[in-house]
Amino acid sequence: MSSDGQDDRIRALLREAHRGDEPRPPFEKLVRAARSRGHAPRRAWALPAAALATVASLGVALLLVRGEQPRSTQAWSSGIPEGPLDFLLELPRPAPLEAFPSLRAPSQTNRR
Amino acid sequence: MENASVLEHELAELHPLSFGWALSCCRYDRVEAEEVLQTSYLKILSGRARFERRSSFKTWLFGVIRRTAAEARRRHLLARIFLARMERLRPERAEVPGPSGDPSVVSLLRGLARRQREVLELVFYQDLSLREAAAVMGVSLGSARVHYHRGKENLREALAGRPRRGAG
Repeated sequence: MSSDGQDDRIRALLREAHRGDEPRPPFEKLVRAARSRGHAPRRAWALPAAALATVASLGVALLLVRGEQPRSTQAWSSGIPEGPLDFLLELPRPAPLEAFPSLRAPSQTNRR
Repeated sequence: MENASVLEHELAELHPLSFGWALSCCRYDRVEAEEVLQTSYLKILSGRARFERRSSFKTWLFGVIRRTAAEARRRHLLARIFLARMERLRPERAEVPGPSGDPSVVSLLRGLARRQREVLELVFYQDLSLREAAAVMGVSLGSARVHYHRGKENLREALAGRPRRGAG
């Protein structure tokens, strides 16, 4: 098939594919629908509201995270058992530093 | 094109061709084409898409329609993935009526790669030059030429393998 013949065939094929384009949606109807979408009130405030909500939720999340941190640190440092296995972390009493001997006062064993 | 009424007049004049082009960009799906065209008009009338006279009005308008169709395609794809994962539903498109043209011809054209189909539509149906088609598609002239030749070749092969109507 010659190039022109093939081009004509493609043209005919595309015309056939577009034969069912009718009825087209009326231009006025599409423009009216587009205008009403464009004037929808949500467009005016939707973006700032979404940004505000995001910032607010981030702030709340940050506050919650920072509010919880000291509590957990305190619980660990004071040794208050909170979990079922926390007794494993308890230190033997009396604390070893309280029984440390003083260098200035000689002990009973040295005098003998 | 500052005057809104002049803009609207230009759009109205090109409306039949624009709808044909929107159909082609939406793989001949009427409902989707209508939605894409409406969104394109909204972009233009609201000033989100501006004609800056770097090409003909028709070329620019077709470019806007093509980009809008690509956005819609991505949106629909994401929606389909989301629906399939979350609700195990069949995609909505299954309920949409089929293509408007001859189904065998349409399926033949659908079998082509998107860019090949686009360039053939623009050149042979919309009567644009290859340079204008490249501008609409947002590709270089050389690239458009490659798509054009490959599209013609693939279409020729598809036609050769297609059973003739009424042959039995």
